[in-house]
Amino acid sequence: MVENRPSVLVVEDDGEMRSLLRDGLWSEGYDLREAEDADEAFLSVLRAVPDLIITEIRLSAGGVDYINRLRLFVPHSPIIVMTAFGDEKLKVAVLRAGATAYFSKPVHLAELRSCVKQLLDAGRQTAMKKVVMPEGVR
Amino acid sequence: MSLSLDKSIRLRAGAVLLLTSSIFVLDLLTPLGWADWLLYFIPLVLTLQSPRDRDSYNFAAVVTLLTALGGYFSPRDIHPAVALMNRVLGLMVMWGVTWMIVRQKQARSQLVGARAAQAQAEAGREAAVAARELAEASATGAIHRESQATRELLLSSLRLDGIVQSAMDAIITSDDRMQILLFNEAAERMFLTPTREAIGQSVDRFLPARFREAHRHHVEEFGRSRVTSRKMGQLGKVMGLRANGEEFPVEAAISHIVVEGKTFYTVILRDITERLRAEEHLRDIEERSRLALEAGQLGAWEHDVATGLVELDARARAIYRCDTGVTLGAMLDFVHPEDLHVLQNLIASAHRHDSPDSRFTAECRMRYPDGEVRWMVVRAQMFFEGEGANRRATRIVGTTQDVTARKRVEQLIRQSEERYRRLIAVSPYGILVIRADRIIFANDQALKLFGAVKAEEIVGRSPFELFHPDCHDAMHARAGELLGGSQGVPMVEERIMKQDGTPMDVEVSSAGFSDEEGPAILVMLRDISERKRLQDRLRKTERIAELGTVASGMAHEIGTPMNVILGRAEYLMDRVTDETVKKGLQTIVAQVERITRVMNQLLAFARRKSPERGPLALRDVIENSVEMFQERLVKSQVQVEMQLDEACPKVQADADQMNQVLINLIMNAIHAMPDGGQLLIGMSPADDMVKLTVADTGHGIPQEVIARVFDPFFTTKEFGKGTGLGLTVVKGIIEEHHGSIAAESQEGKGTTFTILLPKSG
Repeated sequence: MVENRPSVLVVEDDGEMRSLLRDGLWSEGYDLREAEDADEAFLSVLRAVPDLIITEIRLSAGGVDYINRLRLFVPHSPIIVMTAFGDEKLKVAVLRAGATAYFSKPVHLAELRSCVKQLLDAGRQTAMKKVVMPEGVR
Repeated sequence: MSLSLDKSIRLRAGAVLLLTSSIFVLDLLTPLGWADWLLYFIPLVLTLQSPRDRDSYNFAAVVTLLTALGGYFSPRDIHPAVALMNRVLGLMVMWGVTWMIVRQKQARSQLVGARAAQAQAEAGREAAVAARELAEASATGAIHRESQATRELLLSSLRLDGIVQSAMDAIITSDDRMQILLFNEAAERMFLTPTREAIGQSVDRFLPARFREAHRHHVEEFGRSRVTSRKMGQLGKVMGLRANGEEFPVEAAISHIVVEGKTFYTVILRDITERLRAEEHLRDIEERSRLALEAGQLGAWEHDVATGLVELDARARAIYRCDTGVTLGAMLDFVHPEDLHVLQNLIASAHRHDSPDSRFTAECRMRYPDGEVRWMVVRAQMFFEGEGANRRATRIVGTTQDVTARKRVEQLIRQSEERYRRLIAVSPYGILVIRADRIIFANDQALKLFGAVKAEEIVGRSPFELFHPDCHDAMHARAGELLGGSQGVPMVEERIMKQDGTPMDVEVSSAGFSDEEGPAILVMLRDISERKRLQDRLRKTERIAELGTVASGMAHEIGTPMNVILGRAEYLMDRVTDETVKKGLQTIVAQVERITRVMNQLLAFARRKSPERGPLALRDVIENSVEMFQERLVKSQVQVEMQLDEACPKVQADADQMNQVLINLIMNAIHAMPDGGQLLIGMSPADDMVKLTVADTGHGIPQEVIARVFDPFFTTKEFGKGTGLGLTVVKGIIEEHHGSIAAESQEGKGTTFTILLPKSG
């Protein structure tokens, strides 16, 4: 069943936030991995490409550029970007850089969960290649 | 010597005797008709030269006798009566001539005396010199000669002595050792020294010590020269010394005579102290009047009415560009034609015998041939002879002064005054002049500032009536400082009270000055209400911008913690069954959501992009916005009524921002009418603007808070509903569009927001 458990990488510098996400997504049965900053995230991605990445953007060595590079490493996995009170400009830039979805903190756990679920399901259905953007996220 | 004199007289007498007897013989021998007896005139002439008068008479008697005898004994060729007649007539002539010549001789000698006396009396130079020469001769003779002639000379000397003593001038004779031999009464008076003390003294005694050597030298030089006399003044001014030590100026004439190898000097001295003083005085007067004319740049002239000619001094000649001695008309040749008749009229009227004033003053221009025009002031006075109707003008004496420079200065002053007058008239500053706590001048701009129409509304009033009472203390202090001599005080902001009672902020600069009426204060006022308003707005904008910056920074810091709180609450909510706990967790979630809303509003305000303005049909925006709220409006039982003027032009605005404005206003309206009501949205043209109104029939806003509804974080909504930023954002957007927004409200009846936006194009 290990193959069937989707892997999700959470990149977040705030410990409490990481803990919350871990708890919130645990029940969904994902294989959760964590990283504290961009560098750790890249190391993690190099070890094994996750099925989905949830990442804060304001990290050390973060920013829109970081999303760009991340997309190069993981061409097919969805990337969910979160940031505290992000604005429209940032949203547009992030999506253009290759993010799949964008959330402005504070975000409801339920919303995040359903987004992650949809993206993983869609990935699985399109047989690895095709990524369908869930409606209402973009 | 007496022997030789006697001999020459005898010789002459012999010659006369021989000649006379020869003529007698000739007369006897020739016929009666021959008038050889006339030859007697020859010896008669010789005898007339005799110094003794009786010789002439004796000889005349002898000739008479001889003529009679000759007539009697001569051969008769004519009638004896005729011959007798001839001879009688001839004798009569002879006697007459003799008598006349003798008389003349006597008269001449008397005349010499009389002339000398007269000359002395007049103190004439020539006579004095003559007298002096006589005196010398006499004095010299008196002392050094003992001869026959002495007697006569002594007589003459006595006569001269009288003259010398009575002469007005001091006469002093000295020998070659400068010992005084003669010292007359005038000299006594002049030198305050009696004659008996002066005689035998050295002349030096009467000279100031410093001149003695030079004088001696001078006199010796003169003695050696061939000049026998020098007249008064030729020696120049010499100083004399009185016995009391006083020095005085004298004029001296000197002569010298050499008698038997000795030189005698006679000096005639005249004390000219008085004359010098008078001359000095006269020179002073002349100099003063010359200086006065010079200083006054005055040209003087005098018109003689009888001859019609004018005498001009140098300056007047330069002014009138004519010569002296010309006619009045010629003098006025270059007077400007426009001014000429004025001058002529004045002269003519002054001429009249009934003219009240014999003086006149006129200003006239000169126009010279080279085109130069200069201003003159002519002052003149008439002089008359006779009285009343017989009064006739004899001359006009006048001065003419070139006042071009003064005129030019006057003109410059006038120009300068005019400039300043215009400056004050067009000045954007209100200008007041205050003297003795009363406004004595206010320019038009000042009247406008005070909302006055006429100057009387301001002028004459106390400045304290026109300024806000809060400023009075400062005004008193400033006035004291300015009237105390301080040149200027710093510019201050004060508040004036307009005529209608509304206050206005002004900037006040003031300065003290003094004129002949005393000290006064000049006040300049500038309306700064607009500036104040802009400053206020700027301050507010700055505050909001600052707030936006703070908010942005803060958002990032609190975003994650808020997410943790929210997430944890939601996480727990899924895991508890206790309703109380669940409710508590729901509250946490709701409060986080509320904070999120506020933050989002704040960030929207802080992050708002610069608007992209263009022609915008406001109607579309209004309809879209209302559409968005359709569901909530129905739910809140709010009826919407739109009065959108079809003819309304487009506005110059950003669509998104206008949308935001309408969303915020409609939201406010809905919140104001929790129990339903009516929402009225109107749009109509207003001059260059478009008027947009959003009115509700809600609970309204109290008057005391209506002015604050646009302030950030000010809200009347119940806790949890408003962010306090909605209207701030609206006002910010409208003002960025160069529009305006105002709120009107009546408690219990509703609130109306009126927006004015500039129309497009």
